[in-house]
Amino acid sequence: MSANTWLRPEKGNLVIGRLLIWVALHLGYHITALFRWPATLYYATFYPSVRRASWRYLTHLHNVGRGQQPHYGMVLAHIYAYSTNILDRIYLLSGRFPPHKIHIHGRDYLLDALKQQKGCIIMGAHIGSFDVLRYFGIDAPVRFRMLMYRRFLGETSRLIETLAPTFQADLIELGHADSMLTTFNALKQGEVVGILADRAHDDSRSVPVTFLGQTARLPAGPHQLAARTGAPVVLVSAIRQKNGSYHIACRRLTDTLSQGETQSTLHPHILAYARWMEDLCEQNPYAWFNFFDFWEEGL
Amino acid sequence: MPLSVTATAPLHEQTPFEHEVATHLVDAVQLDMDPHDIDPETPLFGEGLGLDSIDVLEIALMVNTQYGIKLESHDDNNREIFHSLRSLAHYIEAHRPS
Repeated sequence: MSANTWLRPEKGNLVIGRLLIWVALHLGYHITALFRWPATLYYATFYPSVRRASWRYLTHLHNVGRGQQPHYGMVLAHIYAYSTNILDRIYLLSGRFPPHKIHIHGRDYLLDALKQQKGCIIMGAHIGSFDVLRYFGIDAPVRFRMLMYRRFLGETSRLIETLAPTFQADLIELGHADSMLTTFNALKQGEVVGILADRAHDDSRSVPVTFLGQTARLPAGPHQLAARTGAPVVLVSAIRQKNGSYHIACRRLTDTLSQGETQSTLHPHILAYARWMEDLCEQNPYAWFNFFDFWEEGL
Repeated sequence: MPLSVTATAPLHEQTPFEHEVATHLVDAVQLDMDPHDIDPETPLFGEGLGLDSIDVLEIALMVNTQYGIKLESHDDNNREIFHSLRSLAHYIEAHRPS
């Protein structure tokens, strides 16, 4: 197991979580949105590791010439963007987010990929909204399932997920012996599987790549799975816009990976994925939601 | 990436069929150890041999190719089947087409 700090119980407070959901569902979006600044200040004050992780990321972004010189206002803006993401989660999962505020671009990539009848891997990252990405998958003409590591899921996340009755049914939980067997069979049946491929949880199955100028370990597993199944990979991001709508963009990662690919020959694909993430970070600096020691430098 | 496991004499003896399965298994997951050195009762997944879920997929595909048995996803018995070399070999022997 890697020492990666995301493999720890998620931060959060159940009482605040319940209160937030109640307010969101009874008093509406605009009233709930007022809670974002107090929540941001709470996290910035009481969770120094979150603050430091944000600072580290913004510094790396600046050092590769893709972002401005960081200052503490940016750290607050970054945490604020995450609180907005949580707020939107409540509306997205409870089915109260207006569909006309989700704009899908490049859906043809998915439809084209499905024509190959080898399933499709929707590869995302913890950049932007995971729930909107899920929304995109659910919209596919075949069954959509999301691969997720849930052992360290926080109480607040569990609480929010209860708002979507089908959430559990659409999951393939990572960390079980047969997780990949289930995923393999789902792809063989032509289903769409969503994977966030930016968090490594096993050193033997991850590879070091340069990401924002520093070495980070990215998981090779999703790419190995693509090679093993022959399923096409579509990169998908769902980024919140200033007006509160979401912009979903797709891109093909590569043509189908072949079965003979090994961890070393997959490296260019993992690198291409890293470059895609870098572009997203440059265009949307506050959409990066990996508030942990991503580069394993020590926080 | 080949896994490296310190070779120690297994505590439990392999049956001839377990040795056959072990040979296929080592090949399927590119395990850097002699098939003889796999203790048939050592857990395959996680602790023990340290295999992960992708390795388990490779083993399932090997079982399909070599023995014509299709292992289903979300089978309640999967945890038991993939527990050890012994449990896997036992399952194959009981389910292989005659």
